[in-house]
Amino acid sequence: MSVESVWFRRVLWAQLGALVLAVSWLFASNLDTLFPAGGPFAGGILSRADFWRSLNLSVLSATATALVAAALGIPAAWALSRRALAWHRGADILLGAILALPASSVGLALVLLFQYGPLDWLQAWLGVRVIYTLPGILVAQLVLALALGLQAWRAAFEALDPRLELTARTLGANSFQAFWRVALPAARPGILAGLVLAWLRAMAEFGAVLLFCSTFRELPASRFGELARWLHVDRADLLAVAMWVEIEFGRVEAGMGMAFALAMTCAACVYLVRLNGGRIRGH
Amino acid sequence: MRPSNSRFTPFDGVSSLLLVGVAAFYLLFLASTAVYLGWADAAHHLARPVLWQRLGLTLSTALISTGVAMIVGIPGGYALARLPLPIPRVLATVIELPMMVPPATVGVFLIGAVATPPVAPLLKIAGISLGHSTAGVILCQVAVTTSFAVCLCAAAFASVPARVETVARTLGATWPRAALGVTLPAARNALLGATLTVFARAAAEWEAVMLFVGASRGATDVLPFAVFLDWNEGMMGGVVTMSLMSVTVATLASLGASLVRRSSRVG
Repeated sequence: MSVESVWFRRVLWAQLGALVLAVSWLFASNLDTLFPAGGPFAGGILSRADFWRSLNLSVLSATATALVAAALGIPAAWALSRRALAWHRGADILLGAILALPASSVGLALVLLFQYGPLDWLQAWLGVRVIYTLPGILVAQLVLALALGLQAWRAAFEALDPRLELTARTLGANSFQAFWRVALPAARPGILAGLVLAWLRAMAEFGAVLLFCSTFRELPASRFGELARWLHVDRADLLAVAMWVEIEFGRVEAGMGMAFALAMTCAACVYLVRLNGGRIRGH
Repeated sequence: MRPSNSRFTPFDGVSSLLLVGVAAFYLLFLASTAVYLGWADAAHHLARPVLWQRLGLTLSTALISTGVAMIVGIPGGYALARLPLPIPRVLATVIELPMMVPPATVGVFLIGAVATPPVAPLLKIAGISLGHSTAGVILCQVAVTTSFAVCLCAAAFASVPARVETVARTLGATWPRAALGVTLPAARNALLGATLTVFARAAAEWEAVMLFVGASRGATDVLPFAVFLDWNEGMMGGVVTMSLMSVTVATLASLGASLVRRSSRVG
């Protein structure tokens, strides 16, 4: 190898090393905050009931959101993969724009749609209100989780050889059988990656929920229904929102503890996607 | 590409209905801000200079942080795409982590990252103060978008077959010349699309800013942050107008990225 190439290789490795070092620093430099001198671990969040309710709420709502997103998104992505090119370009632009929106705009648009827009009439007709309620969290999470899931699911279906399904159809399968028995199993790594990404995006939701639902921790227990109390999700906020409240009130150790809980969950999910052979694209 | 024996089954109908429904919801979602505001109110609020000043702050900070993110992202992405990594999944997870965690936690982690030696004394010597300053906003945007830029650039370089480079090197080019003269131009459009996406992401950042930098009129009130601040004070018209500006930036960036990427089918 020439001298130039040797140096080029060294520069690239140095670049990658610096990047890994910088990210590690971002997280590791905060570890000491978890162990304050004379205080309990992470500001004592582990012995606080509202922390566990928050964690419970985050996991349950993210799971519910990811399942709803999958039920809507996987068939929609499959339908998209069979449409003409113009649909694909439109989906590129639309999903790209949705995923590039600031979370505050997402929350505001939801408020406009559910408070003043067509969905206000729908709610009146159904006799429900989702704004500033716990189910509202699911709505706010779904907007971005579904968009992120759709990107992964359509990529998974588009990567399939169309002859697979065509063969199944010629052998007498109808379109649902071809989807369920052929396309879905063949696209499994991408489908699972999309599911994990949608779950993670819902878990990480913050700004939209803050605008659309505000916080719940200060509300009296009587404001919550039987189901919420039975699930232990009453008087609790999503972990990211709870973290923000802790920091705002100056309880940095507790906020840091929640930040690490979120970061470790994310790391586990990203590693899972990688392990499964899925690729993360877009945001 | 329908098979010749295709009968229209209920599943075709349901999945198509879902697709159209989701598309209609997202279109409605994008349009809701503009529809709610209407022309008269938009004209009234758009005449307020403070909104344009905030748009200027948003675009200029996003431009600077996109520059930084791409300067790190292009060589970093190339390295990620072409070097044989020792523990690939672990390293990829570490590099992807800042783009996957909630941006609000990045803001929390930045608190310790700049307050711990050796970073804190260095910042002091350099005379940089980050609290309630535009420099802090840029740091947040860089922290949130850099790993995103690296991943997008890695995908752009991975779309150029390594074989192309090998051929150039067999013909006598050194590695850096092959990378800069063959791979980089081939990935140009994909990189341009990545730059636009990163810019949109930087212009949308506010959670980390809120937690790490804090509010300061004229210095840290980028559009998405100002939307949240004014929303709490109940200034609906101005809030919706600023959100409309953000939605426009995001839509234009996505449109641009899609147009650029369309002309970049490599290999």
